[in-house]
Amino acid sequence: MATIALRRLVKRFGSTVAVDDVSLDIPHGKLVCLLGPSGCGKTTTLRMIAGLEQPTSGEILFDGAPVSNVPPQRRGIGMVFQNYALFTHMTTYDNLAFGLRIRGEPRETVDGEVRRMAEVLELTAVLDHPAARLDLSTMQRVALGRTLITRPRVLLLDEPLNNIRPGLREMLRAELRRLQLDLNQTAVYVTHDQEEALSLADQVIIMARGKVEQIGSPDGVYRRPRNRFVAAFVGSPTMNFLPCEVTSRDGEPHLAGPGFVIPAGRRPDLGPRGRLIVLGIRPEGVRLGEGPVSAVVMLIQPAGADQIIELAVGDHRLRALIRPSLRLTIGQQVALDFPSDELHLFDAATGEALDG
Amino acid sequence: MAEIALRDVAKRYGRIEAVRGLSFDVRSGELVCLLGPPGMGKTTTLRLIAGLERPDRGEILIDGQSVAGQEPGQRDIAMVFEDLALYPHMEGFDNIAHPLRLRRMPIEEIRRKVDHVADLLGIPHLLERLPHTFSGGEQQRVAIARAIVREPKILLLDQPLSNLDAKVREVMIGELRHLQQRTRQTTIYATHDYEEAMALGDRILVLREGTADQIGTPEEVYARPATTLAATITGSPPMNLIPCRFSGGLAMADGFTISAPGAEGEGFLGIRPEEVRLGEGIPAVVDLVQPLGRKKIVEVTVGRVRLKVTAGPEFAGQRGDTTAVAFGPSIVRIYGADGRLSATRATGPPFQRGGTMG
Repeated sequence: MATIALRRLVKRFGSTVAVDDVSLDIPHGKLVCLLGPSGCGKTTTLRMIAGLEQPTSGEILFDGAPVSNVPPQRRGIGMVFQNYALFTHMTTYDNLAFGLRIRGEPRETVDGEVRRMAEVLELTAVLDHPAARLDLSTMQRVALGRTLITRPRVLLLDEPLNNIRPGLREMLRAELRRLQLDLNQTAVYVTHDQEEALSLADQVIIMARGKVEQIGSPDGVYRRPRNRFVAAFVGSPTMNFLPCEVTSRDGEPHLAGPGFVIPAGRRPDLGPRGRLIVLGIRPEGVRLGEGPVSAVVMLIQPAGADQIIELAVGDHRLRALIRPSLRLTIGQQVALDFPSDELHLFDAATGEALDG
Repeated sequence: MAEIALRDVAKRYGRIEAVRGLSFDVRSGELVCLLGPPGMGKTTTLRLIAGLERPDRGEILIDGQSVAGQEPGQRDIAMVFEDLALYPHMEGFDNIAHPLRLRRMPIEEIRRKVDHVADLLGIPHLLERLPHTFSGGEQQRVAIARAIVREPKILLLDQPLSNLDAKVREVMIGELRHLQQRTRQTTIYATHDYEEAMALGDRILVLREGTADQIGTPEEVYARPATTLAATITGSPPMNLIPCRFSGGLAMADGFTISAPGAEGEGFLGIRPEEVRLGEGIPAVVDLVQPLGRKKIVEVTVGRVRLKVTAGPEFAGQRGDTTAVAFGPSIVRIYGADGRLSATRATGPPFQRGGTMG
């Protein structure tokens, strides 16, 4: 087991900067997710931790010691990829045993470890089955078990659940998290799926264009996004954004948006009247029924436990998440409120969050 | 605009019965979603309607007329596949115009129609660009524009969003819904994703092994899934199905018992994660907490049964903590051993521990 530290890590491919000055700490026993759209540098970062890519500059430390001269196979890492390659001609048992046999572990040790891992991953019943005959979820568990059995100091996972159908994916995600918690396994997990990152991670690292945009707990990045990028990337349905101007009414700070004026709440950081800001509000934060904002229902999407309503506010569209029992019709006029404790405010020019 | 009817349609490939006696109707202007896991006959059903396959048995009617003798080209159907293929050497305009040019339509009319669908799908900026410069979502929009530009009687969509990122998919679902409301195009949409089916379908048909498990509005299918498959393919997380023995007005699960009048024998209690309340009722152990921003998915063990529960973001429990769960007064669904819904009941709170399975 290990702690990992990245210090001012940079990776260039020709004139492209794939990873741009990334520093972070991965504590022992924690699962950290690198989250971002494709091309954000998350996989390159993972590959540098693995030793499959050399950093252009900066340092990677395992337990405080630099690993730049340590080849991949001696870093004590285990990797699981999106396209996990099992030895399909071998049985589940032999796949699990492979890493230990290569190391020359005694037969009894190998047998004991394989059976223990099979027990944990519920693979005991298929130990004798050839890997080619296993279903996808079982293959994924074998791939995971084969990696975990070697007791890696760090487990690196690159979108390992991508090819698995929805439903099964959520099940495997839960299994993976349970296993990681039980084994206290340090792990770095790369994904573009914000739901996956939030549900799995102790800590989420959101990346864009090679840079770290925010590091925080799943709750932290959801509730206090540091900028518009993070605010829009994390959460589903996506946060709504409306342009506003700081104003005042009866001496209290207010926000004037398209066709409405609402109280801004206690915000010492709001700045002078006339400042342009972007108001962000999550779909579940929009209140329907009463309020200073008038809107027209444009679209109603049933979503099982909720309904997603698309609303027109002036020329802007926003979405609200409401109870499925509420009956609305398209074209209906509704009043909305944006409660001040649900507001996220961003500087219109920089996109940075105002510190509330 | 057209109505579609399938009457006892069957199709077999060698030893595999892909479609087995399937009957359903699609009304004019309606969008019906075929929802089912992979391998349940969704694509085969679309291909049969399109005329790309011949049924072994049964009848397909379009506007009341059998289409058995018609080639695909005569059926006036457009189809968009999961792996769509745009012509890589043609700009957006020419890709969309292609089906009209094949019909030798005058150029002014082509221009008018292409501009119209490009507006509908929000893609006027793609008309003069080549497909390799399009994002995944843009490619899908162009493919759909090409399919609807000639105003086919029927549009068939086979998992058109399954290769897109979650964020792009979210946007596309909203756009397709808008499009459908404006065009009222008769459409059959195959998917394994319940969110797409719920958001887009006027009605949902749950397909299992080539037959219809249920057909109903999204609200009906979600509230009263007719089978355990319909129950578990809808919802995120899906419905909890608790194996029980029903006897004397009780449902006895592995480690707890609740009231469930009217059912007898072996089966399952079906309870949606958002219908379980945490913090009251019978003791349970928190097994896993998965935050999702606006809610948390909490897995708990009650007796020896593992349940998924939707909790608010304020839920502070962690793996290993004790809590409690209650089901009342929500509706529970009772499924027989055959997986079919046999009753829906309001439950009382779980009142007795230590019940065991039969």
